[in-house]
Amino acid sequence: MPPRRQVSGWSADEALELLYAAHWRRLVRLAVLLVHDVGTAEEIVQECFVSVHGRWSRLNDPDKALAYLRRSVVNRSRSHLRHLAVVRRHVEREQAPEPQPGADHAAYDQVRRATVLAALGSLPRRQREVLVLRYYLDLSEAEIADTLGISRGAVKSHASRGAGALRAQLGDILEETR
Amino acid sequence: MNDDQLRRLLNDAVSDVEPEDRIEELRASVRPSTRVVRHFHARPWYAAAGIVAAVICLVAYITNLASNRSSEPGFAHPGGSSGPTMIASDTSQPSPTGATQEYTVYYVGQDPRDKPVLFRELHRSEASKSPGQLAEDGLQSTPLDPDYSTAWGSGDLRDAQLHREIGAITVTLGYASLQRRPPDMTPAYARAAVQQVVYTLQAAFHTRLPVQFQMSTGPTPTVLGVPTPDPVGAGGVLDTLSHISVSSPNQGDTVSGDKLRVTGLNNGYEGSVLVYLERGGKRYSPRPTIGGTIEDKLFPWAVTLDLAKVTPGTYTLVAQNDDASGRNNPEQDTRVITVE
Repeated sequence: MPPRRQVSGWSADEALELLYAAHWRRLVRLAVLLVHDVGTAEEIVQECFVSVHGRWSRLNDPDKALAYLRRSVVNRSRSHLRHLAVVRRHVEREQAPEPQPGADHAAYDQVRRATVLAALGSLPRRQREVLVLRYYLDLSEAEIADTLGISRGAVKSHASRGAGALRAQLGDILEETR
Repeated sequence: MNDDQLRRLLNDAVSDVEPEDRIEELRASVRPSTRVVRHFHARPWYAAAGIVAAVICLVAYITNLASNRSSEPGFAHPGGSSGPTMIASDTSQPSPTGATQEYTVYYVGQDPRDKPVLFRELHRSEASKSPGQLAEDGLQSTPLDPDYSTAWGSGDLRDAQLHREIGAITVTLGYASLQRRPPDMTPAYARAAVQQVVYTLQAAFHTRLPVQFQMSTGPTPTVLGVPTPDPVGAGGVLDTLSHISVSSPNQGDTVSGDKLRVTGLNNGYEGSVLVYLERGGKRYSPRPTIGGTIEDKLFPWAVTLDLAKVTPGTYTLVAQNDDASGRNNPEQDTRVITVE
């Protein structure tokens, strides 16, 4: 049986292909900013794509699908971190050795990126989510409010506090990137 | 802080991330006969396949039974009375086994005042699982609606069993650390998370017996920081559940004809409910109706919308309680539907 076409003209299978081509990499990177692990980020985003495929008849609009994907990535990342925190408290894990910075430029880049991710990870959850949606995805306040289910006022407040906290932690790096 | 600097730093932080290509895996995941997906939580994939028409009929029959029971005083489904609020799997695809069952899971959402309240979803799974296993699976899986969340991850809950002889349902925590509330979880969310388990297990076992949380060594004094030395009963309906819900139509339904029958439950100011279709910020076919108020329960309501002048397309069906505060922030439930 041929795939059932929706009002938008895309079947769920076609939508999956097109959305994947357009947003897979960016959404995985978004998830990396939230969960700080590439493999986990891929798993989370893959689940989100499968979910949007299953709900395509209800979304039926590329804009709604992208908004749904963003919200799903944020919420699933949050659920993952919450679960991870519980497991980590229970299981003693071997600490990975701290990366040793080398003298070459690539090593410096790696340290800078790790420092930014660590600083993001140290922020309260809402602040981290708002900053990532605002500065990585370039969403408007209204879009962030809709994605996170909070008011625009709360978005402003979290953005302001989060930026302040990052400024305090990343002062040296910010000076170098001027 | 300079916005451009922050933008550059965040983009730079993940600029070397090149995710592996998973399109083949995704295609395989959504293929009807092999609908599997790799999960880092090893979550069950409830939408492993759709169901055949006969199973739809069976589910409808079961749902009707549940609906009838839920209207009985004391039955453990105060969140709904006339059918599923959301269906987990795609009903357009055939099931390889044809044997599925439907079960209720409560998830945490928010009311207009940002208070965590419970919403229910109906999921489907293979018929071979016990009610306790299905409830555990549901609680530890991601809700369908991205607005909802769950506090429970894989391995957090196990061995849910009904013990009529001791007058309780028992469930075992997978980790001792679950006795404490995580730092990023509010006390209100923790209370809702505990009630998530209570409401879901009571629905699974069709009982209002309380839930005893335990470790392998015996009853646990706290769960997520919530005192649980004794079995925990279901919290008050109005304190725990969303005050308004749509029972039918379902999310994603396509409707046709000149009339649309909408049913649901509510408890609100003077019992007033307003139901309408919304698209592009405009309201269509608004109709008021009356559910109920006072008492710690939800009341059924029903209304028929006139679709004769509604242009075919996708709409958001909104049902909202009257907002007596005048702040235009009503309690509401929504469904996305297509009008033909």
